[in-house]
Amino acid sequence: MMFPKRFSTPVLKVYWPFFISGVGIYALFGKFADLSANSKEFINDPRNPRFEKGGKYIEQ
Amino acid sequence: MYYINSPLDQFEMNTLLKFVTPFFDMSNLNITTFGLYIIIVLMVIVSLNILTTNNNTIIGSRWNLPLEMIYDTILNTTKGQIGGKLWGLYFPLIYTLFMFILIANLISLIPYSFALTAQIVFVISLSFIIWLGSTITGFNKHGWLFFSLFVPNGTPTPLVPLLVIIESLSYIARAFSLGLRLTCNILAGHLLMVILGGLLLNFININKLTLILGIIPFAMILAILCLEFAIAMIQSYVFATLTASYIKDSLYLH
Amino acid sequence: MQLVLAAKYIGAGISTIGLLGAGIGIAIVFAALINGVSRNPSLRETLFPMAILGFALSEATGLFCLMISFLLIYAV
Repeated sequence: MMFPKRFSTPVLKVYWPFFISGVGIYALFGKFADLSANSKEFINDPRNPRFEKGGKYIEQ
Repeated sequence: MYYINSPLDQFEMNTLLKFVTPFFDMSNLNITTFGLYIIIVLMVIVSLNILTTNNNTIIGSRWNLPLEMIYDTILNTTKGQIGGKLWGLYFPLIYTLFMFILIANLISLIPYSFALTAQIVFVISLSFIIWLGSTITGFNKHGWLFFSLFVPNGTPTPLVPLLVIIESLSYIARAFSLGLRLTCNILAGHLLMVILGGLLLNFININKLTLILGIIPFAMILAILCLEFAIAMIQSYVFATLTASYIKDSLYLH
Repeated sequence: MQLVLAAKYIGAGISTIGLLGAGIGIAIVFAALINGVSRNPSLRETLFPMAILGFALSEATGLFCLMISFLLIYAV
């Protein structure tokens, strides 16, 4: 009853480039986010998730 | 009394539900304000469709008409932009993008709610995914012939190197400009509403005369709010149309 | 330091001049729409989506200027 009808739209055959690019962009932007979180400006920001795992203040 | 220090405070994200796990790092699954509003958008779209199908009877309910009109508009846009034989395959993607951005924009206009599409990282990565996906589609379909997209038809030979540079720059700039257009519109609109609202509050607080006179700027802000509603709908339409036209470029090469 | 702060605000103010071009562009788009519809009212249905698309494209260029000024104020 949850899925009353199945449609024969080719999802994987058409959209595989978008799935590949989704995975790639996710990895790329995650890397950028980590880089910016570890940069000089934000390493001691109180919002940095490092502090929730018991991170200490780092002197620059 | 609650003071907003910066007009950008409305775009701050808070963690609402936190995963604390001993062995794995599951902080990627934390429910933030962003996640909450994604779930709300999903709920609204699903309940719109459930209300429309009317318990799977043949004739839909009264909700049928607006949803069918939105569907028809996007269908005609996709058919006009992509055309050929392949437009039907890409219609689900464009309809999904349009519905998501429309509902997210409209929900963000409720006072004190959160603007999903004003988060620059989210929208820019969405437009990067669309751009890279359509580029891979074009390479898979045409091979090296895909680069003929960068040379317009009937170019004089001496101009070709210059034009190739300009065209490839504009092709790369699409990845940014598609997302930046949407997010800048929403960001600027919400900031404008907050700044004008703060000014009006200061003006009304002076004395009783300005409390009555404040109706005039209040009506103006109401007109600007109507403009924001129009922009919210226009921008989602433009995002869908431009996605269709980028996919068309890589499918048919001009 | 005060000089840098002043230069930041002056830069943010100057960057909004780019909105002039966006305003002219939007005006040209809608002037062309009115022109076209008044010459041939039956074309209204086909001209209107194109005008909306042109409006959005030319408005975005002005918003890029606005974004630069926000960057200068809040992010630099």
